[in-house]
Amino acid sequence: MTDLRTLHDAFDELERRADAATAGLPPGIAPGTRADASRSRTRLVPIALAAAVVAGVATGAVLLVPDDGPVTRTAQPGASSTAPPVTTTSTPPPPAHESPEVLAERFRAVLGDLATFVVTESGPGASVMTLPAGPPTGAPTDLGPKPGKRVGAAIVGTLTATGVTGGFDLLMYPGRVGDKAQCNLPEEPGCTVRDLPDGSSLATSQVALEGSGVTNEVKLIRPDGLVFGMHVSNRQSPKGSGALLADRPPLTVEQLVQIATSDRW
Amino acid sequence: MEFGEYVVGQRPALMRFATVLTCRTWLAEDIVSDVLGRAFERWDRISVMAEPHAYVRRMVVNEYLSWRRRLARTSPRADVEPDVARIGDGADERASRDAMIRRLARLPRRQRAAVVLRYYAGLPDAEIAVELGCRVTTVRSQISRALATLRVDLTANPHSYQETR
Repeated sequence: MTDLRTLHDAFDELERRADAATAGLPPGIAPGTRADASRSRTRLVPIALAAAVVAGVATGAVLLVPDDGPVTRTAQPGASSTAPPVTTTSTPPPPAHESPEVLAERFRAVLGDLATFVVTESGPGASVMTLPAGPPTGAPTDLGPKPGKRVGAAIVGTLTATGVTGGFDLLMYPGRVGDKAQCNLPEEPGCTVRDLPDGSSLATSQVALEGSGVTNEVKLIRPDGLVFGMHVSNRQSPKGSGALLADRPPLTVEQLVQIATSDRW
Repeated sequence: MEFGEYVVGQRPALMRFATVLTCRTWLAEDIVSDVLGRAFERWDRISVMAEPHAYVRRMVVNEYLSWRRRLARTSPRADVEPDVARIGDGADERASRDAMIRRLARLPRRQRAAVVLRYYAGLPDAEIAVELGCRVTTVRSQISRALATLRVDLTANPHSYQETR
C-alpha cells in the first residue's frame, strides 16, 4: 500500500508531461537541467513511445468544408465508362491521405452510390508524438502550435445511406509497418480482429452506446503500415455523442470492411 | 475576457488537468483542442459566466467521459505503457510514482475522473457529483473503489489530504 503522496507525485509527473507537451520542448533540453536532461535522454531512448492521434480542430477555430466546396467538384474515379487518355507525362494520383480534400474525393469515389456525406471538420490524420525525455523546469514558454509531426488526413461529418443519416469519421495516415489493428474496446463482444490474405490487419466492432446509440468501427492496417480507420454512428457525432439521428448507423460493419478494403483508394 | 486571453492564460492549466485525467498527453491535447474549439463557438455565453474556467474544465471532463464512445480514431498506444527502463533506474520513489500512473491509467474512466476531481482539482464530493452527473454516494463509492485499486491507504497519511468541504 502507498499513501496519497504517491498519488500526488503521479499527478505532478503528469503535469510535467503536460507542460512539456504544451511548451513543445524537444526531448532532453529542458532549460537549466542539461546534466539531468542528458541522463534522461540516454535513459529514454529505448523507451520512447510514439503515439498517433487524430488532431482535433485547431484551438479556437473550426474548419468547415461545405458540401458544395472543393470536395464535391472532384471527379469520381471509376464512375466513368470512358477510359481517360493516357500520356507518358501524367503523374500518379496523390495518395488518399495526402490531404482532407483528397481523402474526401477518394471517399466519394469509393462510396459510389452507396452513400453521400457532408464534411464538417477536417484535419491531419495523426500527430506523431514522442514522450518528453524529462520533466521541464519553469513555465511553458510556447503556447503556439502543438508539437509533433502531422501526417495523413481525417474528415468528420454526417453520412447518409438508404435514407439513414448518422455521424462518421474517416482517417488515413502512414503508420508503422507491422502494427496490428485493434478495436478501441477490445473487450466488447462485437470486436473481431483478423489478418487478411494480403497481410493487412483488420479490426471491426459494433458497440452499443447509451440511449440507443450504436457505433460501428473498422480499422485496417495495411502491410506497408498505412492506417485506415472509420466510424459511423446513429448519433450526430462519430464519438457517439450528440443527437440520435436514426435507429441504426447508416452503414453496417460489413459495409465498412468493404469500404476499407476497396481497391479504389 | 476575450477568448484569446482565456486560451493564453488557461490552456496550460487545462492541459495539465486533461493530462492528469487521461494519463496521456496526446489525448489531453486532442481533448483540450476539441473543447476549446467548441468553447470558442459559444464563448459569448461562457465568458459571462461566473466561473468560465470551471465550465470549460467540465467540458473537458465530459469530453473525456464520452471519449470512449468515439472508438479511437487513434492508435491505442499510451504514454503510460509499462516501461521497465524507468522503473529500473534505481529510484524507488520514481518507480512507485510510475507504478501509480499505470494503475491510475487502468482505472475505469468515471473512477479516475472522480479521483482526479477530488485529489487533483480539490473539489468537494457534492461538486464532483454535479460534474459527473451522479449522486454523492456514487462519487464516494467510485473513489473508494478507485483508491483500493490504486492501493492507496488513506490511514497512512491522515492529515494531508482531507476533503475541503
